[in-house]
Amino acid sequence: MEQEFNPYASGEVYQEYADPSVGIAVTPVALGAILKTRVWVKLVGIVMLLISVLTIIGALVTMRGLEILGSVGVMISVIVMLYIFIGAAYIFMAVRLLKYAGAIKKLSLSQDTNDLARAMEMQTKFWKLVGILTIILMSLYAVLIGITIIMASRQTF
Amino acid sequence: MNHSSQNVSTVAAPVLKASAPTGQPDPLFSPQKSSLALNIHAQQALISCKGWVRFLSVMGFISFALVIIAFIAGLVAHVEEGITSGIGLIQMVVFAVMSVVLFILSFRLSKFAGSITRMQLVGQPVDFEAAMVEQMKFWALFGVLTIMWMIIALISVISSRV
Repeated sequence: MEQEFNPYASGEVYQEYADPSVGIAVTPVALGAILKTRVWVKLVGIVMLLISVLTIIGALVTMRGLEILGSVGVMISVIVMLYIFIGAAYIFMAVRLLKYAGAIKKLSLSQDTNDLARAMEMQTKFWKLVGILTIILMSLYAVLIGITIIMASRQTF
Repeated sequence: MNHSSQNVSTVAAPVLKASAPTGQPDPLFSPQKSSLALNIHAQQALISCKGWVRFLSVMGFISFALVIIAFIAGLVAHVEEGITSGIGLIQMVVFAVMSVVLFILSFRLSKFAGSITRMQLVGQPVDFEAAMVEQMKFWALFGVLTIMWMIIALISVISSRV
């Protein structure tokens, strides 16, 4: 008699992962998609670099101008520092993207498995950085909202 | 026997315990020959990026929901007061476009993460292919949006100087 399979039974493993030591063949479609990604990644990386430089220069010029006028408050300093932080974050993201584009270029020339692994690692580093920066930004927003609520409640009472 | 070709999965190799016996070729999928393979380091790199991509797609969907709420709130306010200015209408259109774009980008990231999960589970070339195609589509859309944003920024700078 055939035993009935119960995927919800405790202690049983329903699925297991494929063995990663077995390489997965890269189809021409997959390779084509990776190579087409390069142009867009490079474009976005260059634009990000441009934005970051402009953001940092803008923040520093604003800070200097306000220093000359003698009207640098704590809040303005915090905002300028935030802009500098955003600019720096954009630089890191742009560098990661440009490295990813570079790795894809190397892969297109060599068609080597190790270069493919390098490109995937670069991509992973980029997404990890974006994820961490998103968490930091969310935390900053939470702190700012908290400060605003506290200040508003102090003014009310 | 060639050792490198022996360790490369070019055909379906399902490891689902409740499915068909393992090691049998999938008749629906016949990949073309390629010397390039996704080795263990590349697979591990992709698998470790899956969580971050999923997280970012969820954040994108949350942002989409917030933009939709703002859009509806703006729409209600305009309907109550009556749309009198063109600026209000433009703002509504911008909100609508933003929400659609956010949804598509998040959807692409979600599909990218989903393909990596399938690749991790089943280990088929078609899943890696799907992941790379989704990633390419994401970057193509992001690139087109970047170009559009640059053109709009340039126009606004020029118009402010005139």
